[in-house]
Amino acid sequence: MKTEGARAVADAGGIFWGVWWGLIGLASTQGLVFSAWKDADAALAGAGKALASPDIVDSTLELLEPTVRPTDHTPPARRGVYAFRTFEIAEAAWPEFSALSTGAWKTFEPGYDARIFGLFRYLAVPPPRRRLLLFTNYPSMAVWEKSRLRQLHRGGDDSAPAAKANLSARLDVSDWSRVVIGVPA
Amino acid sequence: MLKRVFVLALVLSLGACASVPMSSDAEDSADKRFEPPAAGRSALYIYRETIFGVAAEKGRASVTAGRRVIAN
Repeated sequence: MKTEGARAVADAGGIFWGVWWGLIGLASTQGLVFSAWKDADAALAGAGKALASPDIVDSTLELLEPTVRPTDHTPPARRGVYAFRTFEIAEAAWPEFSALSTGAWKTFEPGYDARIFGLFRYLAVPPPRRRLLLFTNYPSMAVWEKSRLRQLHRGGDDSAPAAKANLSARLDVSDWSRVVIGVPA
Repeated sequence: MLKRVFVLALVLSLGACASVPMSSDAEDSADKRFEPPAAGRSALYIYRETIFGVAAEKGRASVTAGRRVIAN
């Protein structure tokens, strides 16, 4: 699927971002496929072509719009694990959520050798709600675990002290979040 | 802001992560050999049409012979 799906997406004018199988939060038969398109019409028309594999028996698509990241459409190529974290917030909380996120990333990324590849908005959830997908790479599950807020709060980790207050405040303005951890296929 | 629309697809695959050592042809044949049941007994094969096993778990599925329920 990585090769045939990527070719099918490229032929349809899209950019294939990759395939991930679930490590935490998905069934052993589930995976995630990411692709980028010039607009929603192209996405709806072309995204299914990435899934045109006899191995794929069902799929659910989510249309996402970039917010502060990504700033280009280069597919993520780093090794390690990828966290797909969904947040739901009130639309009114978005400016604060965004500022807290970008502020935290300044020390979070170098502190954990992490990369925030995207903070997307779900197009299916309109105002007054806002649902977001934070897409982050970590070198390993051990680093992901180390970077958790509870570790920061316990004082057991000081890799990114300036990120602590921001991420804690971001949690306060979020109604809920959930995470899926994937590994590149 | 980047003007693109991204698609994240949650997919269900029958082949995901199914990379396991395969048996030899001889072992495969031996495993599939059918031994006739003893006199007075019969063998029953259950074929599950769905890939989701939950519906066929004990207590959620019945086995009938004609109209008679012979197992729950």
